[in-house]
Amino acid sequence: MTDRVLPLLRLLQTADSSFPSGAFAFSSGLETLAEEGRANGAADIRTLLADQVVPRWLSFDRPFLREAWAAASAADPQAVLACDRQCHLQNTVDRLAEASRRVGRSLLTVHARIGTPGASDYRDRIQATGQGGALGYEPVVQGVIGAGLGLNAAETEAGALNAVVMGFASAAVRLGRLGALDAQAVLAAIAQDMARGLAAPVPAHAGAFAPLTEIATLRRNAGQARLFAT
Amino acid sequence: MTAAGAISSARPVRASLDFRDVAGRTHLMGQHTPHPFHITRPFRHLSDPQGMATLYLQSSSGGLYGDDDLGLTIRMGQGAAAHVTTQASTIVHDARGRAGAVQDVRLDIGPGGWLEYLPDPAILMSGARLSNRVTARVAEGSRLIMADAQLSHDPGGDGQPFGHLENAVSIVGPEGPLAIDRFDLAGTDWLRRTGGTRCSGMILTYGAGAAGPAMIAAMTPLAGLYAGLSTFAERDIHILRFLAEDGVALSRALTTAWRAARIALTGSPPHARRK
Repeated sequence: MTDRVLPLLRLLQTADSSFPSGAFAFSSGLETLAEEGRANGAADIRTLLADQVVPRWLSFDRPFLREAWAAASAADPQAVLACDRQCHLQNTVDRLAEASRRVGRSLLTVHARIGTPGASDYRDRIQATGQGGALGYEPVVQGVIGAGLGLNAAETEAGALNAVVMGFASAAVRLGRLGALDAQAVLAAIAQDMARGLAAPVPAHAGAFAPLTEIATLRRNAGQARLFAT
Repeated sequence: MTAAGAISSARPVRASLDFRDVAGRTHLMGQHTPHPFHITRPFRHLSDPQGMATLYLQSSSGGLYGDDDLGLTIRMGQGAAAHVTTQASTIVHDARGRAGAVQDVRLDIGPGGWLEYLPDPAILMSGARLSNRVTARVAEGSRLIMADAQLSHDPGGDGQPFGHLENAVSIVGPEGPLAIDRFDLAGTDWLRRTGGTRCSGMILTYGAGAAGPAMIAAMTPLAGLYAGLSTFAERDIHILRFLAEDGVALSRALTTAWRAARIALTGSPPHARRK
């Protein structure tokens, strides 16, 4: 265990809500669902996490994170870029794609600033492709950062999924749909689903089917005042 | 390949349709439609663009069974235009312990070609297993409007959903892949993912920039629908996703979106396709 303490401390640091990843700007469709009366309390938030947010991360983000982590651990930057390009092709919900790129690039910038191994190198490689607008997706960058911090694949995945779930619960609190204590109860309950999902094999191919929240992210009227970008 | 990865005992059946432009009118110049594929005679409406031919696909077997392995290739020559649809929904029957059906559709659209590939939804019956793949290769200056929709049907109402659905839609341009939309789902998860609705679908367009905003504007007032539009301007792709509360709303969504797209692209509404 002793040799895992340092990576664990770095995981706790980067997974903390105060870490400036930019993820706080996104609600994964929750703001729209709340406005439409589809998300009104702890039970609804719990259901959305269990039926939409967690399964989508497990089936879509997780395979890309795992592939990027393996490529970065093997010091194969071309394979990381190939993984990022594939993530771009498969991100077919425009606002979720944009959110993923914004968080990914923000993570790269912050980790480059604090000297996380591999971060500045991957940021520079993205810039060198001349396709920066189509690369730097969140799960790919999380894989690179996890490898750089010395986290194993399972730790990297747990940290990334935790960030997504915490972000969703935090958005629910800020939208006034969940009290602070209720949020903790929801997080405690959903941990079982998260652990069960992470214990299952990584899907061979990334795929996403969570149309309720995916469509919700798209239902935004131009000029409408919003708290979140998705 | 099958939905369950098992070895299929079914004989692969491959059909093909070749459309060509001849002096401003599109003709079906080649066809290979072995059982269970069947097609109607192509016809035209004067209001359609580019001398467009309309053709209905039919099945003489009543749907997809067990480990059917069906493939269809539609080739659009330079400047050719076609509206290809189905006479009715495709029923995917209970696989009854077999690996599941495979449906592999390839759409090759040449330069300046225009293809509307608008099949009715797949109805996934209790126990059905389906691997559905659609791959569209689009050339410079071509246009594609295509639909891909499913309906989970549990006629007994006893909580016995379809078995499994593996779905992949890919768009490939002259220089490589442009977009891949795929998912892999157990029937028991369908209602959880859709928020309780039985019908889900999308309409994807390529090379039809004005169509996307027109489709979502036309869909928004419709009852029983929950829809959103993704725009990928740099790839000239729009993807309209929707959930529909029942088959009627789903059919209305498909027709409404297609009509709106056509008006946006040509300035005039299309002639309704009777079914």
